[in-house]
Amino acid sequence: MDEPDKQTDTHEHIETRRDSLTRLAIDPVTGKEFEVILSYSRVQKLRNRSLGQKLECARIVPEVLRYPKAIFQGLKRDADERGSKVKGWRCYCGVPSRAFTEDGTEVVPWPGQTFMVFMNIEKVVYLWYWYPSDEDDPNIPWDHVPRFDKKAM
Amino acid sequence: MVLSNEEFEKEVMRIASPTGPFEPTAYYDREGDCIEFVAKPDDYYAERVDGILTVYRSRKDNEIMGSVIKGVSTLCESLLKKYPGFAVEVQGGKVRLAHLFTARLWSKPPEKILVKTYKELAECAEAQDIEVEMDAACL
Repeated sequence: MDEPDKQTDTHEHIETRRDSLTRLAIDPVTGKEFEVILSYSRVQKLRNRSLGQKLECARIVPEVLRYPKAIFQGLKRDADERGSKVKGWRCYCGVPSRAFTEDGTEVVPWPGQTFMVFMNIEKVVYLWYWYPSDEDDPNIPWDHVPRFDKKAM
Repeated sequence: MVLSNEEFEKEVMRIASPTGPFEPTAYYDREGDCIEFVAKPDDYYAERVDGILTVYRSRKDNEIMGSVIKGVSTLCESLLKKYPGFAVEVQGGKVRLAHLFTARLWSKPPEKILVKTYKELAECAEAQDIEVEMDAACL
């Protein structure tokens, strides 16, 4: 995998790298903030994508983690799809305060869509995207019932 | 230590600083046990297809331009059990993404919308000659 730095991947270097991508998220059980880390490889993969996608990562992901409108926990899967290594994960959802176009222009949030941020049990954020929202609640995905085990917040 | 919003944004921009023009790629993310495939640089929204596949649709024309496959380790384990021949598709820890889409399609009862979507993704991945470097634990 390509790396922007030429340094050897010592444990200290890896830990420093991970710390720089730490953000705060709301725990749905306690209501308190806790630290999560964005996947370094995920962020790195944005290198040759649009400025808008980078700004999503930098501004919208942290906003939805810290001020979610809904948090879902557990993924419903078919019998032959269970057993993923990624256990006990959560999905933070909400319409953020803005969206970004490809060239980085700030615009109003995309109509009819909510922003979803996925986290694993090790509190690593590994995926995020805009998704069509529920007709009655624009902050949650339209298919939340068949998709998630429970609504934690 | 949690960086300020400004410092965090600077760090994201540093890590994600461009290295060249966009190229279609697919990669396995160990943290999410998922493969993300992006064929175009367009901005997109997601659309879930089934229990493990979500596609990305371009905001420009709503056409499929990428996907995320979740539960990759379980998928590979299942495919290798059902189709031992799938192992020959793994060369030096890499898998041709088109073959993964096709093998997944074989393992499911045929439903028109699924067939169309998986075929579209397989053709797109094949046209771009996309390979994914897999974690050894998956294979």
